Amino acid sequence: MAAAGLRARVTGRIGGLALAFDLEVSAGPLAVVGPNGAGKTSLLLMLLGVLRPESGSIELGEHVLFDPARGVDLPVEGRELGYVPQDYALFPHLSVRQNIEFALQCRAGLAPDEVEQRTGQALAELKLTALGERRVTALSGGEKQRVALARALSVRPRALLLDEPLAAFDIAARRQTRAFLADYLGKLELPTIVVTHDAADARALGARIAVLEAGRIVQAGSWAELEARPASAFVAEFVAEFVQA
Amino acid sequence: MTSTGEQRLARRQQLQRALLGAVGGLLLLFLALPVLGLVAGTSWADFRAGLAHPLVWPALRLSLLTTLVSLVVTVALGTPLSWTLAHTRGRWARAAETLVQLPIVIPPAVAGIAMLLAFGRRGLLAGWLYPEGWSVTFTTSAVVLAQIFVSAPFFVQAAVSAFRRIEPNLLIVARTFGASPWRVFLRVGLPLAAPGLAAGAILSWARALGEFGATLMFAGNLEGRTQTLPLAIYTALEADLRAAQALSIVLMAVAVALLLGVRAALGTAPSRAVSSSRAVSVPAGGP
Repeated sequence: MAAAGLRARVTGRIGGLALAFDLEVSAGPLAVVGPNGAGKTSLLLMLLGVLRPESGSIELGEHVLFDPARGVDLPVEGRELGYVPQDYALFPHLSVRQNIEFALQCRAGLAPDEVEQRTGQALAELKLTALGERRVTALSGGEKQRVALARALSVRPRALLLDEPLAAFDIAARRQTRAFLADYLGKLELPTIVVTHDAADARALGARIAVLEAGRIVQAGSWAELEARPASAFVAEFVAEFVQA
Repeated sequence: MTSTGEQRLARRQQLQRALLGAVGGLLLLFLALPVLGLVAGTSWADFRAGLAHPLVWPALRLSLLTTLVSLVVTVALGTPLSWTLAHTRGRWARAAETLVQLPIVIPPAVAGIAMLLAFGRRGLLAGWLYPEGWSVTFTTSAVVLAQIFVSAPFFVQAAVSAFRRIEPNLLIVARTFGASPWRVFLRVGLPLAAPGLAAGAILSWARALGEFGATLMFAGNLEGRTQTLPLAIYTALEADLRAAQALSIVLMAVAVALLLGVRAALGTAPSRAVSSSRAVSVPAGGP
């Protein structure tokens, strides 16, 4: 079953930065890369509904999330997007299991036994069952990330957004986690956007890569395409950075 | 650098640190002396005799009763207000925040007059607030109102900053699950801000307990009805210094206990979700 694609064409202004991007992602993750301050996180916040674009539209298949021309601007609560921020945003006062239960309880119309059953499923899916009763503050970085993923996916979102999922890892853990994420996200069949500033991460995680510079997407394509025909000096440097590493 | 040079540098640094400490110590001494004077100037026999004074127990009872009521009202209304102020941007929200802080800076006597003019027999609201011939002034309710007026800002200030210290991503993520504003407030906001809220509640309680000026103006000094501990101290001072001393020691002991409570509450703040800044100011008491 192929998931409905996420399509966003928006313009907006965040602080001093004018943002204008046009992107499309269906199954197979899109890596959004770019230098610091290019607007990567702002892009995610616009998709989520935290920041409001000035114009354009955001659609998920038939589902319109934002289109001022049609009078649609769904709030964060109504967009059904999964979000895993850089710091994972696990609720520090809840255990691993309670973090996931909380997410499911927020979804209207789920009976308590269904919450329990889907929590168990989500824990098992990401090999977290043994950690269920742990406090999230006592977890390693990799474990925290798996909890955040399990929690985001437990409510069956229509798309998944990850902000710098590997930024918090040291080199050794990073390689391992990157391999896990590449494998896991690749199999999800969910429109997935992964924001990263790292070439190796983008290459491993993104089926396609969109390069954001000063609020604009200057190039989008496969790694091979970026490598063969870089559209800007930054793209050329970015691709070369990986070859050197 | 030679080793004698290093030694000289070390000595100079030590001297400068000692000088800074000594200058700061002057203030510490000044703050400690009155406390010392109160405790040292009251013998155990004086203290017991003072506690037996007829003013003491009604005032203590009234103080505890009224401050508990004002604390409950402050927390019940102040928590939603603080949550809203912490997450609303714009000119009106900032204006409201400034308004809430106003009672901290206006003198309590002025607050008393202002309350008379708002809630008194001939006040702004008198026309539709009261049946003919009745007024809240000089009743126990007036004591509670005066306490809320002067103490609620301390709670709101602490609560707003506690809510603002919550990592914004936690609230955004909760919303992506479809959490209602009510659920975000109850399940994420309240538990994470709890230490800051507790500290604010204690500070606010301490301020209410010490309330004097506005109470005197708005509620009067009627034994058993509006005479709280600070007013009883003021009254006792005219006749029996020992009773005033004993009451002062009781009030100070309560204040010290509350201060330790604030420190304990803030000491348990979860370090990950809230930053370590402890933006809580201490109440200004007195008439």
